Order: sequence, then C-alpha cells, then structure tokens
Amino acid sequence: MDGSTERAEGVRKERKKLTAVEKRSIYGFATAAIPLIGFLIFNFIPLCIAIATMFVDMSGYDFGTMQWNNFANFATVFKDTRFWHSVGVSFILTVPHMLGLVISLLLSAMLAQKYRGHKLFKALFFVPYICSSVTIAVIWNWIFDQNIGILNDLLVRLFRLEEGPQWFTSPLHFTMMLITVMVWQAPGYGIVMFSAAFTNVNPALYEAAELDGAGTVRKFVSVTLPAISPTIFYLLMAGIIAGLQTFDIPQIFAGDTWTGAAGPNDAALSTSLYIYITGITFSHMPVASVMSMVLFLIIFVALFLNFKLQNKWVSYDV
Amino acid sequence: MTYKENAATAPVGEELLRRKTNGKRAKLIAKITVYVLLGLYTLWVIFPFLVILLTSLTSQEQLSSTMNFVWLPKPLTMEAYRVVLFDDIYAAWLYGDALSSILHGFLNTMWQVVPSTLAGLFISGLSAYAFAKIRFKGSDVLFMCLVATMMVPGAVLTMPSYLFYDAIHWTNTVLPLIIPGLFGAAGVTFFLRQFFRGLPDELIEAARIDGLNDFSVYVRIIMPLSAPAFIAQGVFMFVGGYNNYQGPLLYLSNYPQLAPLQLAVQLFMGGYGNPAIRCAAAVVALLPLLVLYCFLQKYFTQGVAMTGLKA
Repeated sequence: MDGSTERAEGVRKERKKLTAVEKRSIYGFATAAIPLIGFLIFNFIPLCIAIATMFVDMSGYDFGTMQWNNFANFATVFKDTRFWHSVGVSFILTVPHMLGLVISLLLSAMLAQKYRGHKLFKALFFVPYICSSVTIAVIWNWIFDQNIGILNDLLVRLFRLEEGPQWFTSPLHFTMMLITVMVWQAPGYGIVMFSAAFTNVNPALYEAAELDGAGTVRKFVSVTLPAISPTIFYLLMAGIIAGLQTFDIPQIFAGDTWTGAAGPNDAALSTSLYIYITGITFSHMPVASVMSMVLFLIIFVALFLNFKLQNKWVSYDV
Repeated sequence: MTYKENAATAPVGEELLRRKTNGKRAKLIAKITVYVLLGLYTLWVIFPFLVILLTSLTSQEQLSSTMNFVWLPKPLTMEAYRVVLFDDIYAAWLYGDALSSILHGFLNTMWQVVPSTLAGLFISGLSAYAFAKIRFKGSDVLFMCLVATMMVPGAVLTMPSYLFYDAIHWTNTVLPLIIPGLFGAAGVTFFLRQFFRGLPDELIEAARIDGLNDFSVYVRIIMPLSAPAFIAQGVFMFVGGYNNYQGPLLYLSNYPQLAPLQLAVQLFMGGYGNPAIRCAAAVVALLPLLVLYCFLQKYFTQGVAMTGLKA
C-alpha cells in the first residue's frame, strides 16, 4: 500500500466521521422538532386561518363563502356591550385565583412548621385540585341548590331567615357562588408550589433573624416573603392567565347550549364562554376569531403590566 | 449583612432565659392555633365530598317527601349507585347494550386518553433527549420556539382549532382529542429536557461507543433511569385528559356514544332529576382518580411542581 491510498483512506474515514456527526445532527433536529410540528399543524396553521377570517364575512364554517367586509367584524366586537361585559366577568373570575394564592400562602406557612401530620394535611388539601370541573359543578350545584340544598338549609337555620339567598337568580349571588366554587379548587396548586419554595429558603437567614430577636411573624415578613417572592409572582401570573381564560365552571353552571344565555344578567359570561357561544352556538366564526385575538391582547397586556411591576417587589437575589 | 452589628445588641443571660420560657408557651399556643386552622380548612375541603356521599345514599322517597336537605338518610340505600352503574335507562337506546352511560364514558376515557398519553410521553421524551444531549444546528432557535408555544394561552386557540378541524372533517370524531397529543407536549418536553440534562454525558458516550444509536440510548438507558420523572409527567397528563371537559364538549357533544366520562356525567345529568343519582354519578366519576391519587400521591404533586416554575 503506498502513501497516496493511505491518505485517501484517511480522507474517506474523515468523511465517514463527518457524516456520522451530520446524521446525528439530523436525527437530533428531527426528533426535537416533533412537538413543534404538532403545534405548527394543530395550532399555528389554524391560528393563521383564524386571523384571515377576522377580515371576512363567512356563512357557517364554509371557507368558500369568505368575503372581505371592511373590518366590520372588529366594529361588531368593539360595539358589543355583551363582549365587554364578558371581559369584566373574566377579570372578576381572576379573584378566586388571587384568593387561592393568599390561602395557599397561609396554609403552606402553617404546613412549613412541620408539625405532626403536616404531610397528611398537604395531601388532603391537594385533592380539590385534581377534581374535574364537571364533578365540582355537580357537587356545588347541589350544595347551592336554592330549595333543598344544604347551604340554604344551614343559612336559614343559623340566621332564622324566611328563605335562603336566590343563588341562581340574583346576578350578585351567582357571581359569589362561582367565586366560592373556584376558591375551593384553586389553592391546591399554590400549596405545592409554595411548599417547594419554603424548603428552598436559606436556613442561615432564619438563624440570623433569630439572633436579631425576630419573632415568627417578623421572620415570615422579613425573610420568608422576600425569599419566595418569585413564586408569588409566578402564581400571580398563572392565576391571571387561568382566571382570564375561565371556561368550564361558568359553562357547566350556566351555559345554555341553545339560547347562548349565561346565568342571570350574564353573570357567568366569561370571555371564553362568550367566544364559545359566538363561534359554536351561533356559528359566527369570524367574530369569534376577533374576540379570541382581543382576549389574547388583554391577557398579554395584563401580564406585561404585571411583569413591569415585578421589580418593585420581587427579589431574585436570595 | 447586618448580622455582626446586631449580634452586639442581642439579648444575654437572664433576659434570654426569660424569653425562652415565654417562648415555650408562645410556641404551644402557636401550635394549637395552627392545628385549629388546619382542622377548619380540612373541614372545608372534605365538606363537599361528605355532602354528595350523604345525598347519594339517600332514597328518592325520602328526598321527595322532605322539603329540606336530608341530613340523616333513612334507610341508607345504594339504589342511586345501582342506577348509575347498571340500570341507566338511556343505555339501551344510546348504545344498544346494558352497560350504563357512565361506564361507557369511563371506557371511552380509557381508550381515548391512555394510549395517547403514553405515546405523547414517549415522543416528548424523545424530543427532550435531543434538546438535552445532542448538539445540532438550530437547537437554540428550536428551543426558543418551543418555549414560545407554551406562552400562547389555550383559550385563544380553541376556536381557530375548531375551524381547522371542521375543515378537515375531524369534528364529531375523537381525532382532535387524540392526534395532537401524539406529537408530545411542549411543557412535558421542557421539563424532561431539564431532567435529562442532570444525567451524566459519560453514560451516553459509553453506550454510543458500545454501538447504541441515540434512539436506543433513549429507550434503553435514559427512559429506565428517568422513570420517576416520566411517571410524574404521565400522571399529570393523564389527569388532564381524564378531567378534560372542553375538548369533548366541542367535538363529541353530538356523538354521545363516544363521550368520555366527564361529558357522559354532564349529559347524564340532564336526564335525571333525582339529586341522589347525580351525586352518585359524581362520586363514581371521582373515585378512580382519588384511588390513583392515594397510590401515586408523590407523583401527582411532583408533576405539578415540575411543570410549573423552573424558567
């Protein structure tokens, strides 16, 4: 074998090696991209189609009838008082998530004392979070039943009322009911997140605070709260996102598949529910698309403002 | 730190002792207060379950004769459960068999959710492995796109997806509930990637020198090593699928034969005015998940905690 063939062999080997690396690179790209391809097909392309429908009239879901309409859909949405009412309802439905945040913070603080049985309590408090919205609706519908529900029975006996509140006919009571139901479910997530955050607080900080003579409450306010502020911030964001998108509970409690009504004075008309009613019950897909985009914008602005405010109170340096 | 300066002014001697005994009493009071509050919250959490359990065991006669809530069912009866599980009047004309809507719903949930969850989990892991352990061109861009998809609120995508599925004739089928999940989930990929990055590279290099390709490395080495992470994510996905209401409502409302459990419970409600039956249906629908929770509690909370933060 002379030198030149040896060299050629070497080059060939080099090439082979290169292709192996390239092959691996291709394999990596191809497998890594699968979830994105799914998103592209089932979410991104539909999103583009929906954006296109925002500018047209269309009968039902038939693309063949698409016709440019000079932004009439936007005018429809912006003049629709029912839509803006639904935005208000959605903001009201972020309240249970905020309450859930406070409740889970207090509960986790108590659980963090690690008294006997804290694990059992924690396991129990998480249960509402895994219950489906349908079962939750069934349960609370029965509790709030105006005539023979347990709640009104208790209220009538305790306060010697003539009759209990009309939970399903008064808008105010309906809203209170929805908030109660959602507050029952909400804290489970926060408890898990806060419990993790509490265990990550640097113990040296507590020792230092103790030497300074800080009591339990003082330690909580001055050490724990700043240390877990990123988790509070995250849960606040998650709560806003979840609240503004609320669909299941209002739909099951009040959604009328035939008329598109949503509780007394539309008290349960969250934006997601209104989008559903517009797009499915009334088949006004272009208008529903505009509403979806406005909801997107609202969520985005709410998160953006929250994000901008975070450096006033969130500390990442502990 | 201000620790050193303040140490000088820290209490000493008797003062410290007095504080300690006071502290003991304060600690006891604190402990009692905490237990009372946790106890009250426990009551609040289990109260709704007790209520439906109680009502589900009440006879229809007692419910309709009492004009108030029935606190003491007399006699205790399993009649409502019998109707829910075995004697559903709609079963015959809806399905043409004796199996009740709720049991049909449960079976539908199982075949619609379990295989696609497992496949989605496998694919998410496959993708996560590439992100964590393979160097390839464009991985950063791809990963940024992946994270970006997680930022899009689901409610915004509902109607666009419906329109799309309608165009390809997938409405009134189970396909929209199954097929997208087969591509894996961005959140799960994101988390598993984080987990895989913690596994040593030497392990993979050694296996590759032994002649395994990346796919085999993933299946034979990474997956067994990451079983807890997979279980946590799988449980999380399964609960999501089991509890999913909006998806089936959109695509299977007109097709009760294919309705999964949640939709079946919801449709079933309309047919029965008897509160005992509604409560029994809710208990039956809750039970499988609660049993699963009892056994896999650790994974339930892990799955939630991991998919959350970590950005």
